[in-house]
Amino acid sequence: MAQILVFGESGADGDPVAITAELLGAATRLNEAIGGDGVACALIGAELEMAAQAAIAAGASTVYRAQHDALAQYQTDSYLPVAAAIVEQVAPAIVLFGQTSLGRDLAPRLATRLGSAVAMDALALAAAGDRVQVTRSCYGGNARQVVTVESDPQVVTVRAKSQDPLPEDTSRTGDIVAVDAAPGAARARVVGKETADTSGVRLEDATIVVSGGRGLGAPEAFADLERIAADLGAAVGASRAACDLGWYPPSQQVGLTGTIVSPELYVAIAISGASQHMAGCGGSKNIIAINKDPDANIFRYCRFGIVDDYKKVLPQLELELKQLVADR
Amino acid sequence: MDAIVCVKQIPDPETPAAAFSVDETAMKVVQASGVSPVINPFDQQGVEAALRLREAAGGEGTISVLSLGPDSARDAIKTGLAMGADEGYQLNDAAFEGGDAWTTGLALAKAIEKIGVPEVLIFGRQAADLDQGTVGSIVAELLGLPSATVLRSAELEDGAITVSRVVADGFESITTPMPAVLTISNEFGDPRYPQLRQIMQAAKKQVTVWSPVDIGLDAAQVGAAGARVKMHALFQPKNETQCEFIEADTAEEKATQLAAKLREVKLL
Amino acid sequence: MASAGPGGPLPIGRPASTGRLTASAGPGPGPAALAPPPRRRSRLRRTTKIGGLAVPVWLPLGGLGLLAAAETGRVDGPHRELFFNIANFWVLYALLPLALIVIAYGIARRARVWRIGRADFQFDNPRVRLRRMLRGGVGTERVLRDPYSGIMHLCIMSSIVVLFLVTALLAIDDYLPDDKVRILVGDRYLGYSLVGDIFGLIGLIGVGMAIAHRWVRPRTGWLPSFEDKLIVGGLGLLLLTGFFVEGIRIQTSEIAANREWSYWSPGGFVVAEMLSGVSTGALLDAHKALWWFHMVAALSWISLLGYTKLNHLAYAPANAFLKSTGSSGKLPMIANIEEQEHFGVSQLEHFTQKQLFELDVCVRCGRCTDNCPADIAGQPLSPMHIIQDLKAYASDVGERKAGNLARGAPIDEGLAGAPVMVGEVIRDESLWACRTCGACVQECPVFIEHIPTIVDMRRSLVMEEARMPETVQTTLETLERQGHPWRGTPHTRESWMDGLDVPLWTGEQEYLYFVGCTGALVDRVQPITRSVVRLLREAGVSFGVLAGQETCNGDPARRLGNEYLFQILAEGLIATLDEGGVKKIVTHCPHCFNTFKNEYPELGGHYEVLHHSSLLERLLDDGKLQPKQGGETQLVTFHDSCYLGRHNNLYDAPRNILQQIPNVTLVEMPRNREQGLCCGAGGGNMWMEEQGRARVNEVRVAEALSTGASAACTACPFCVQMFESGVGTVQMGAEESDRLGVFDIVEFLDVAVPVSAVPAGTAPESAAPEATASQDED
Repeated sequence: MAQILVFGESGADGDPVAITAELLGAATRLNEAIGGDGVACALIGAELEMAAQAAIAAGASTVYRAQHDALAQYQTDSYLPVAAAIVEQVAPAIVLFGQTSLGRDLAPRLATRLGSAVAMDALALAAAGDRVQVTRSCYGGNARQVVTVESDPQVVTVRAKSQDPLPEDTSRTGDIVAVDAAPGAARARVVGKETADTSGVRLEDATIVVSGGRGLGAPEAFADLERIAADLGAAVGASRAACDLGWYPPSQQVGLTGTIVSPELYVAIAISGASQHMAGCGGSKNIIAINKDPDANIFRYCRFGIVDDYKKVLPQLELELKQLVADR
Repeated sequence: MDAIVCVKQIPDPETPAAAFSVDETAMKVVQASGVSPVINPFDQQGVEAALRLREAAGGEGTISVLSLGPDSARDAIKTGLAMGADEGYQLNDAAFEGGDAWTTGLALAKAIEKIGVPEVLIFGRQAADLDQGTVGSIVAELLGLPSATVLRSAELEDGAITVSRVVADGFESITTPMPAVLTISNEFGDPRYPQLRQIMQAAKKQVTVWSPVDIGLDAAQVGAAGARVKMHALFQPKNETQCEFIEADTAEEKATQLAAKLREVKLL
Repeated sequence: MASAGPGGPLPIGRPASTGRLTASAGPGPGPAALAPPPRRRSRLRRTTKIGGLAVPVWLPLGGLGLLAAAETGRVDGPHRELFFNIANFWVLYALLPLALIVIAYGIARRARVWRIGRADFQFDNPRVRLRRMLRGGVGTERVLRDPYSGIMHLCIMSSIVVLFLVTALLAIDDYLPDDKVRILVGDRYLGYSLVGDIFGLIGLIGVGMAIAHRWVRPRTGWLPSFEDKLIVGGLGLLLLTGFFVEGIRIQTSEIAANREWSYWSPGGFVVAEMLSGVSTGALLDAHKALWWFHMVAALSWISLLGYTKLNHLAYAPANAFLKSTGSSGKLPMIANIEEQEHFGVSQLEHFTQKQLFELDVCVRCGRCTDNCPADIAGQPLSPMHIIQDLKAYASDVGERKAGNLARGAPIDEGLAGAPVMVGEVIRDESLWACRTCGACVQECPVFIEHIPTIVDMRRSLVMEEARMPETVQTTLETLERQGHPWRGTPHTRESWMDGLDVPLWTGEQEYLYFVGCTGALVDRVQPITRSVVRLLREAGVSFGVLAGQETCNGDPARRLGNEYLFQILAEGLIATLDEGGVKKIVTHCPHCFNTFKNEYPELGGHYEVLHHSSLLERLLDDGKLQPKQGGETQLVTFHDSCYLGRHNNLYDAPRNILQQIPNVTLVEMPRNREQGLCCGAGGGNMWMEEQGRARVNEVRVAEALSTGASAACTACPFCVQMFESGVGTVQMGAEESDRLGVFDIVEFLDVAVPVSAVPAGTAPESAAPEATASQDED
C-alpha cells in the first residue's frame, strides 16, 4: 500500500495554515485504517520553511517542498505541472486537498491529468478496503452522499474544520525533500488582487462568527454586528441574500457558494436559515439565533434561540457580551 | 466572439425543504410535485456571461448551449436559447446515464471539439445538485486550455479576457489568453429574463442531439460504464438539535438571559 | 389634496365621515344579539350622490323656456325685433357652416391619429352602453360625485344647452310668417327672455366657480393649460357680451316704450340701466360692433370643440358608450398570442382605436390621480399624466405616423429621433406603480379605462423588452418553475393541512375550495385557510381541495404583464379543473375570484365562482353557522379589497358577516366601499419594492387607525399581509396590545362560531340540532 499525500498550503508570509494540519490529521487516521505506507505532505510556494516544519509537527513523515519564486502565488498553470511531478514522484494511493480556493481549482485538473477522478468537499472520510469512503454534502445541504473514487490515485478535497488535527508535536522528525520541478508557463496571469476589508479575523479561522441576513432590513445594521464581533474577537459573516443586496462584501458570504465555516459559536442575526445558508454554517459547534419568526428554519439548528426583533435585543446583548468578555 | 456554454438540468434548488425527499434505495431525489427541473442557476449565469461578453465584443459571434442529459434537459438548453444563445446541442443517449463528472467532462470535451473550440468556454461554478464544481476544470484539462474558476466578472481586453476570481480573502484579477475555460459564480449577477419572442423562437429551434458514437466515444467510455466515482448512498441528514428558546417578557431581558446561558455553558 | 394621507384634509366630494354601524339592533350580548340583524342590502354609506339629479334637473330647466313660451301667452304683446339694428345678418348664416367645417376638420385630423390604432371596438350589451351614455355621458352622473365641480359643471353645461336652445328658438321664430304662429310674443316672450337671462347668470356663476377652481385656489392634480383659459375665459366673455348686447338693445329700443317688458330680462335690464346716460347713437354703434363680436365669438368658441378638450361635449357620451361592459377587473386577452407580431403596446399603433380616442377624451380633471393610491402615497404614478403624456405624444409622433400612412410611406419614416413611448414618454416606474385597483377607472367622469392602457405597456416591457424590476423577474420565474409566486416559501401546498382533516377533491363534492398559492404557502395566511375549512365543515358544506394538484391560476402573471405565462398557467389549471369535474369554485382570495369569474370564461373555463364572503353570508342566513361567542367588545373597521369591491361590486357580504358577530361594532374608514383605498399590493405590487414618499399600506393603516378601531378586517390574503406589515411600521414601538389587529373576516367568524360537539364533516342535519340546542341555553 502506497502513501497518502496531502497537499498542504501556506499563508502569504510562508506561515502554516490550519487546513494543512487538519488534512494531515485525517491522513494519519486513514493511513492507519488502510494500512498505508505513511503520510507525506506536498508544499508548493515561494517561502515554505516554516510550513514544512509545521507539517512535520502535524504528522507528515516526509515533506515534498517545491519552492520557487514563480510559485509565490497560486496559479493553475504554474502549480499544475509541479503538483503532477510530485504525485509521480511519490506515487500515492490517496491525494488529499483542502476544499479551498486552491484545492477547488487544482484538484479536479490534477486528477484529470493523472487519469483519475476527484471527490470534492468531504465532510467525513472512512476506509473501506483500499478505498476512501467520502461523505459529502449535496443538494444545497439537503442531502448527503457517500462516494468512492474507483480510479487511482484517489483524489479527495476535504472541507475546512471538518477534520481534527493531531496534537502538535514539534519533537517529531521527518524528511524534507526538495522537489526540482519547474513551474509551468502561466498562460493566465494574476494581474491584481483586491483584498476585501475584513478588518480582523478571517471567517474560516474564526472561533466565533456573527452573521447577519436580509432580516436586518438595512446595510447599516452590519455596523452593529461589526462592533459586537470586535468585542468578541469574532468575524462577521452575511447570508447570500444580504450580500446579493450589496449590504456586505461577497467575500464575507457564509453559505453554499460563499465561505463554509464551522466555528465554536455561530451567531445568526435575522437569518432565516435556508438550506443553502445552513450548508455554510451547519458544521458550527453551537448556533444561536435571533429572529422574529418563531418558525424560522434556523431555529432547527440552534442551541439557543430568541424570538424577537433583533433591533430590540441587540443593544442589551452588546452590553452583556462586553461584560462577559471583560470578566473572562 | 464565439462561445459554448455547458449547462445542466437539475431539480429546482429552491424546492422547499419540506418537499425535498430522497429515494435512498434508488439513490435519487424524488421529484417534488409541481416543481419542474430547472437549468442550474450558475449555468444560467454562465449563459448571461456569454451574452454579455458577446455584446461587449460588438455582438458578432455564435453562442452555443451544450448539455448532457435526458430528454427533459432540452428545456435547459431552450432556456439558454431563449436568453439569446444561437445553437443548441444535447448529448442524449441511454449510454450516458449514470455517469460522473469525469464521463460528463469527457463527453462535453469531445462534443466541444466536434462543434469547434470557441474563444470562450463557459460553465457554472458548480451544479446546484451535486455541488462538486469539477466539470469545467476537467474539460479545460482535456482540451489543454487555461482556466479561471469561480468568477464574478469577465471582460474582453485586447484579445484576452480579464476576469475577477472570488477567493477566500477577496478577489483576484486574472488575464488569460483565449480560448479559455471560465466558471461563473453567483456574484456575476442575475441572468436576463428572456423576451417572449425569443422564447417562441427558442421553442421552434432545433437542438442537435448526439450519441456517444457521434462524438467519437464508445458506450464503455461514458455513463455508468466509464464512471470513476461510485456512489454508495444518498440520504437526508438527520437534524437532532433541540433549540432552547429564551423566554422573557422583554427583549432586553431575553438578551440578558441569553448572555447568562452562554456563560453557564462556558461558550463565552 | 391628492395626498390626503393620514389625518390630512379630505378631498372635496368624498364623504368626510360616515355613520357608524352597530352590529345588530340589540347591542351587546344576550338574546337580542341573536336576532337576525336588520341588515339586508343596508346601504352603509352613500356618497352625497347628486348624480341622479343630472338629467332631471337640466332637461326640464332647459325646456322651461319652450314650455313657458308655448303655453302661457297671448298672440300679441311683448316681443323683440331680432335684427333691429343689424344689417347683412345673412353673413351670420354664412359663418355657421364655416364653423361646422372648422369643427369637422379638427375632429377629422385627430381621427387620422386614432385610426393608426387597431380597430377593435366592442358593441356588446348595447342597452348597458346606451344607458351609460345617457346617465353618465349626457347626464354627467360621475361629474356630480364631486359637489363643487359637479355644480360648477352643471351650471356651465345647463347654461350652454339652454342658451343654445334659446338662440335656436329665436332664429326659428324669426322665420315664422306672422304673429299668429310666432312663438316669442306676449307672455311667452317674456317667459322666454327670463329663462334666457337666468341661464346666462347661471353660466356666469359656473364660469366664476371654474376660475376659482383653476386660478384662484387651484385644486390638486390641476394641470394648467392655455386651452382652459380659452374655454373658460371665452365662455365668460360670451356671456358678458350677451348681456351687453341685450342691455343696449333694451336701452335703445325697449326701456322707454315698454319698461315693464324689460323686467323680464333682468340681466339686460341692469346693463341697460347702467347705460342710461350714454347717447343712443353711440349705443347703436356699440351694439352693432358687440353684436357681431358676440356672434363671431360664439361660433369661434364652439369651434374649439374640434381642437380642445371642449370636445368632451361629444366625446364623453361617445366614450361612455364605447367603454367595456364587463368587470373592470378583467384585462383584455391577447388572442392567438403565438402569432402576434408584437406583445402589448410599445408603439401608438399597437393601441386600439378606442384607446387612442380616449386620450382625446380626457379633460384633465385629475380625479383619477386624486384617487390613485400610488399618487396618494407620493409614488411616481399619475393616471392623468399617463393619459395626457400619451395624448401629447399622439399629437406629435401620432400625427406624423398618420401622415406617413396617408402618404403610403412606412409608418416610422422620419421618426428615428422621436422619443421612445414606453420608457421615455411613459416611465417604467410609473407603469409598475399601478395597483390596477380601478379607482381611476371608476372615478373618471369621461369613462376612460386606464388599466388596460397601463397593463398593455407593461406587457410590452415584460414580453418585448424583458425589462422589469428584479423582484418581478424572480416572481415570474418562480411562477414558471414552481407554479406559484412565493419564492423561497418553506411550505408545500399540503403544509397547511397538517393536523386538520381536509377533504380532498373527489369530483363528487359540490364546491371546490380553491386555496390558492397565498392561502397554502404564506405563513400568515395559512390560519385563514384553516378557518375557512373549519367553517365549511361546521356548516356541512360539501367541498374538497386540490391540495398538491393546485397551481396558480395566473392572476399575478397577467397583472405583471406576462400574458403568455398567464395563458399557459390558466390553460393548465382549466384542464385540471375540467378533468376533475369542477363546476363550482369557492375562493378566499379576491384575486383568484376575479380571475376565475371574469377572465377564465374567455379561455374556456366556465365555473360558478363564489367568494368565501358570499358563501359564508349565505350559511349565516340559512342558520348553518351561528356566531355566539361574544368575546370582548370590539370596534372593527373593514377594508375593501379592490378585486372584491370595485372590480366585482361585492361590498355588503363581508360587512354583513361582521355585523352578525356579537360584540363587533363596525366603523367605516373615510375612504370606503367604491372609494376604498387599495392596500398597495394590487397589480403585482405585492412583489415589488415601492418607490416614493410613503408606502400605500402605511397610508391605509393610518386611515384605519384614525377610526379608533382596534382591528382591521378584510377579506383578502394580500390585504392582510400588507396591513400587517403596515402596522409594523406605522405603529413601530407600540405595545403589542395597542397595535391594530389585522384579520380576515373568516378568522373573526371562526372564533365566534363554536365548535360543534359533532365531529366536523358529518351531515348538516346532525349538526343543526346541536346548534339549536346551544342557542336555547343562551
